[in-house]
Parts: sequence; C-alpha cells; structure tokens
Amino acid sequence: MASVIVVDNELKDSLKEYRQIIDSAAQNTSFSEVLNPLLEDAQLAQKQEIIAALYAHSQPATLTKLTDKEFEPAVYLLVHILSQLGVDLADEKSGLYEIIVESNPHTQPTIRDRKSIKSTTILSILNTLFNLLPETSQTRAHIIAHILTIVEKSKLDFGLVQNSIGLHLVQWLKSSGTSEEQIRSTFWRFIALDSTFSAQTLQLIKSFTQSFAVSAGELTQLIKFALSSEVVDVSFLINNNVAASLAANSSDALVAAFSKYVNGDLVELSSADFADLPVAEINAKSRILSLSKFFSQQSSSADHSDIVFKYSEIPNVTSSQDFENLLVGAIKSGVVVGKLNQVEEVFYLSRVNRFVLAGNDAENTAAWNSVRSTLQEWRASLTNINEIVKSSRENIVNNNSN
Amino acid sequence: MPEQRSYMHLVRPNVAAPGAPAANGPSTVKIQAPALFQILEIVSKQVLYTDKRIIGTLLGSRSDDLSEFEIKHAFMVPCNETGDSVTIEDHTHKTLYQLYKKAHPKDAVLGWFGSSSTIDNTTGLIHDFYSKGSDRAYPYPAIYLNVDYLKDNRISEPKLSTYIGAAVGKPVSGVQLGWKANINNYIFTPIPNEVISSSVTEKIALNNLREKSVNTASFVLDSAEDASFLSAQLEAVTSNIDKLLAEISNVDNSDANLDLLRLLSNNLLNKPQLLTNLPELERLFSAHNQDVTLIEYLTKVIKEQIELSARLTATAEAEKKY
Repeated sequence: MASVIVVDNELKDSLKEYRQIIDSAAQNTSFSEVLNPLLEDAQLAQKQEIIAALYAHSQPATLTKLTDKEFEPAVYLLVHILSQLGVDLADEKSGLYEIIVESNPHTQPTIRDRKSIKSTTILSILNTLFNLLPETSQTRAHIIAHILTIVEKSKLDFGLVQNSIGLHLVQWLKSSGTSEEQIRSTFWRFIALDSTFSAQTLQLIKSFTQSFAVSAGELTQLIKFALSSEVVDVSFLINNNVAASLAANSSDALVAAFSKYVNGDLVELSSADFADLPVAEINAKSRILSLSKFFSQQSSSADHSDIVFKYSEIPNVTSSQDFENLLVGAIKSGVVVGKLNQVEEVFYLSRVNRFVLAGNDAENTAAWNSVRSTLQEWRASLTNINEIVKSSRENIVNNNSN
Repeated sequence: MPEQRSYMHLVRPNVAAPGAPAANGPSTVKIQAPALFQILEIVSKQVLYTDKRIIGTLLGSRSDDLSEFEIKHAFMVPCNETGDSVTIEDHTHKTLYQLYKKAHPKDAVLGWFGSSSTIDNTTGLIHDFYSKGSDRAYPYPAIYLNVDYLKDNRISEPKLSTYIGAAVGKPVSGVQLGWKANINNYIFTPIPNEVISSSVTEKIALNNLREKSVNTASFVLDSAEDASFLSAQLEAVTSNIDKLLAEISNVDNSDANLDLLRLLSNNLLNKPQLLTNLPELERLFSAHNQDVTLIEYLTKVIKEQIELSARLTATAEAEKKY
C-alpha cells in the first residue's frame, strides 16, 4: 500500500472547508460567490463547473498567500476533492501539477521565516502525489522530473534526494513503462545535481551503468564526475558497459587521460586543455594511484618482498618527505594500508588496491589465479592451525603429567 | 542490492501536531527485534477472530527532529468495531502505558499497530485516538505500523508498512476534545522502516533461531560446543573458503564477478604472512603457551609459599602456647 487519503467528511463539507480556506487566503468572497450556487444541488451534478471553479480560484497567486503549515493540508484537500469529483490524478495535464510546481518559491525563505512556503513542502506534496498513483502510471516519471527541477532551481541539498530517489529511480521508471532512453536521460540529469561529487553517487553510477549502455556524452559526464570527485580509486566504475564505451571513444583526449588514470599510470593534465576540471587535484590523485600500482606490482613480483619497501626504491618522488606526504594521502584515501618506519626509512605494506578493470582479460585471469592460490594456502594453513592447537594442548598436558 | 520500494520518501509531510519541528526532513522507523516479536504475537490473534480488529500501542523513543522513531515495546489494546464507529478501551491503554512508563521513564507512546489489508475510515479514527489526548503521542505525530500477513484468510509472510498521517484541510487550532467529524482526516504516507537488533545477545539469539529448525518438538540450543569453539570457528571459515573456491573455480567476466575479484584481490593478496608461515606460527603459539604455563607455575608457587608461610606461623604460634 502506498499513500491513502482518509477523509471522513461528505464531499459537500470538504468543498465548504476548501471554500473557507480560499476565501481567507484571497481575503474576498469571489470563490464563495461562484461555488455557492453550484453547491445548492444536493447531488452536485455540475461537476465540471465545480472543477473549473476550483482550478480558477486555486491559482498559485492565491495559494501562496497561505502559510507553510496551511499550504500542504490545503493542497491535499484540493487533491481529495478533485479525485472525488472524478478528476484523474494520473492526468498530468489536469492543471494540478502546474499549480503545485508554480507555487515553489523563487527565492528561499530565511531560516527565521517560518511562514513562507518552503521548497521542501512542495517536494513533500509531489512525494505524496507520487505515492497516490499506481506504480504503472507514466505520471510518476513526470513527477520525478518536476522534483529534479525543484531541487535544481531551489538549490536544495542533494542529500535529500541522493538515496531516497537514487536507489529506486530505475525501478520506478521501469515500472511506469518509461523508455530506456528517457530512463537514461533522467538518471544523468539526476547525477548532474550532485555538486559535491560524492562517493555514494559514484556507487549509483556504477550500478546504473551495469544495466545500461553508456553513450559518448554520458561517458564524458561520467569521467568528469569521477575525476572531480574526492574518491581517488574509481576503477570500480569500469564495468563491461563503461569499458566498451571507453574503447569506442578512445580517440577523445579526455577518455584517453581517464583510461590512463584508472590504470594507475601517471597523468599530468594541464588546465589549458581541461578548463572545467580541477586539474591540480586530479594530478595529485593520479600520483597516489601510480604509487599504489607500484606497490601492487612489486608485491606480487617474485623477486621482491611482499610487504617491505624501502624509500629509495619508490619512483616519481623527489625526497623522503615528498614520499611520506604522498603516502599519507594514499592512506587517507583508503588506497593503501601499512606501517611507516621513518627512522629506517622503510614502509611495511598491509593492503593495497589492485586495478581490476573490465576488458583487461589477461590481467584479470592472472588476478583470479593469485586469488585462488591465496585461498588454497589459507585453507591449508587453517587446517594446520587446528592441528597446532591440538598438539600444543597435548604437549602441555604431557609436560604437566611429567 | 537496494531494497525494492514502490513508494517514495523524500521528506516527512506536514503533520497536525504542535510538537513537530518546523523544518521537514526524512523520517525512518526502527523496530527492535523483541518489539517485533511482541507485535507479531499480538497480531497473530487476528487468525482466530477474522471479523475483529486487533490493535495495540507502540512504545519507544523519537529523536527531537522526528527523523527517527525507535519502537522498543508494544502491547495490545482491546477495541470493538460496530459499523462505522470503534470503541477503544482507553483504560487498558492508560494502565499498561503507566506500568511501562515506571520502568522506562524516557520512553513514550509513538503510535499504534494493527493488521489490516486496507486503510479505511476506522484506521483514521484509531489514528486520531493516538494523535490526540494525554498518554498518547500528542503533541508529536503518531505513527501507524501495519502488519499484513493474511491474504484471503491464508497466512503469508508478514509485510511491515509504517505510515505517518499527513494533515488534510483546514488546520485545527488548539487541542480538540472528543472526536469531531472534521478532524480525523489524514493522508497516510508511507515512511521507511527497518528491523534492528540492539544488542549482541539478541543477534546471537536471532542467528540461532535462523539456523535451528523451529518445528522440532524439543527446541534446545546446543551449548556443549563451547569447549571446542575455536575448532568450530576454524571449520566454519574453512567451509566458507571451500564454498568460495567452488564458486570462483569457473568464472566469466561479468560485472558481478569483476566486483568479486576486486574485493578479493584488494583484501586477500596482501594477507598477513604469518598465516601461511606454519613453523613460525607454531613457534609463536608454543612460546605463548609456555609463557602462560610459566605464569601459571609462578602463581601456583607463590600461592603455595603463602599457604606454607601461614601454616608455619600458625604452627609457631601453637608451639608458643604450650
């Protein structure tokens, strides 16, 4: 069950209640004058006239005179009356949605202002209307579009819609019968609202691109978002669909730079070529990835210790301090975990992110083999640990008896 | 994989409750596992009386900004439905609430629960009862938890839905006494809920319930395994590794497998060296055991020394007397 309206009044009483609200908001009796003759009929036979009067006197100019606390209940009463009069809420051209969306304030009220209508109230109404409609209704897709417009225009915090819409957007749009193209455009419009380029949104992009193909334009948006984000290792975004799109657009300079970046190769972008990207941050992130690539390659090579690294063997660093700064950045971003011995200038590696990218079949096969052999070693050692515990116990018992 | 949800919840709607904060934000309901069991036990009585409504009171705590409701306890409140009206035994509700309040002074009435397949005018009436008056949710909005588990008188998996009642129409000023026809108007808007287990013991109990077969005649939890707990845990890990090895023995390059590979290679490949270095592990383990044994010996020696000294003192004093 989604939202349900429970109103215990007769329709006529609801109309009288709404009449009072509108009259007090407009501070005149023009609505009463139109409505009263129509209410004289006990059966309310002139439904179309009543509906027309309702729309005519429920314009945003009148409704926005209500306070924030009065506005939402009044709109719900209007919704209830219209549905009782036979207006299909799923009809996006009924005029109801226009009234609601146009009531959105153009400037945000101050925090001290408790009376003016807030954008969150408009979102709340659209949210309830969304829930009143059946899952298969196409209008649900239009309501989502309205919500995105309000978030964009009113500069609302993206966190308000990030998970509440992001996690279910595709499911809702698919249920409402929206075409794949529209789903894709709505999703990428939704993503564009995140001005903080958060890690959670990157996860949303990841799960979306697993199910939908990525066009050249969408790939550019993905790359710009990923590079602008604080998240250093974005290799998890490279699934089969993204890899195919990267391969198809490899001639593009941005795509080529991104491919190098996710592979852990050092990139040095210049602000002249990529003016709309935070070039300095990207170059710094790329250094971290290049360091983690070095660690992962060396730790799996046969002629190097798995975990011990001397300062002197680290490439692309100018001094010990430079390496330490870089390493702290890498640890902070979660790419590398380990211990640093500054006196002996040695780094003990505990964990490093590996680059598993779709399309790199040879590397992935090798990674699978290493994982398998590690698991088998682990399994064998676990069996032996059990034996060690048992034999130690016996030893202790025997020693005691002696 | 996110939970499939057909409804949207961005912000809490405007509610007719003076205690509700002016700023709207999202709300969520957390149901503690013991409270859920109580609720399920109560609503299961609906099977016996299909024509009778079973309802109860939800107790717990709410955050100041109403972003979180936590249901900690529940009790049944008898009610009788006749036609369009409903009679709730207010006295029982008050007595049980006062009793609960003595043990949990910080908790309050959050709302009510029931088991119904539809939301109708009676739902609105009951919600109104819980939204107004003392010893109820007032001045905060009441929440409604519905447990839908009967489909054509057949028992199915319980489906939990939680609602908040948005105000409809003209706001009512002040507290209204009695039930007036124009005040029990609501839009029941769904809000997300989740079942939580608040303590480690509850988690262990829930895991045990999940693992053990419930319909056996003697439902006894096996605690005799405690002695070889380490071995059991090692075997559990080994069997998990076996399952994982079987799973990854033949993999393709699908996105799900790539995610798995990423997770495994990021976390496994730089494993602690000690795990595979058996002689070293054995040496450390026996060294540790020797340390423990040494401490035990020393403790024993000191204890015996003290006892001996006490006996000697006692004997010396006894000899003095004679």
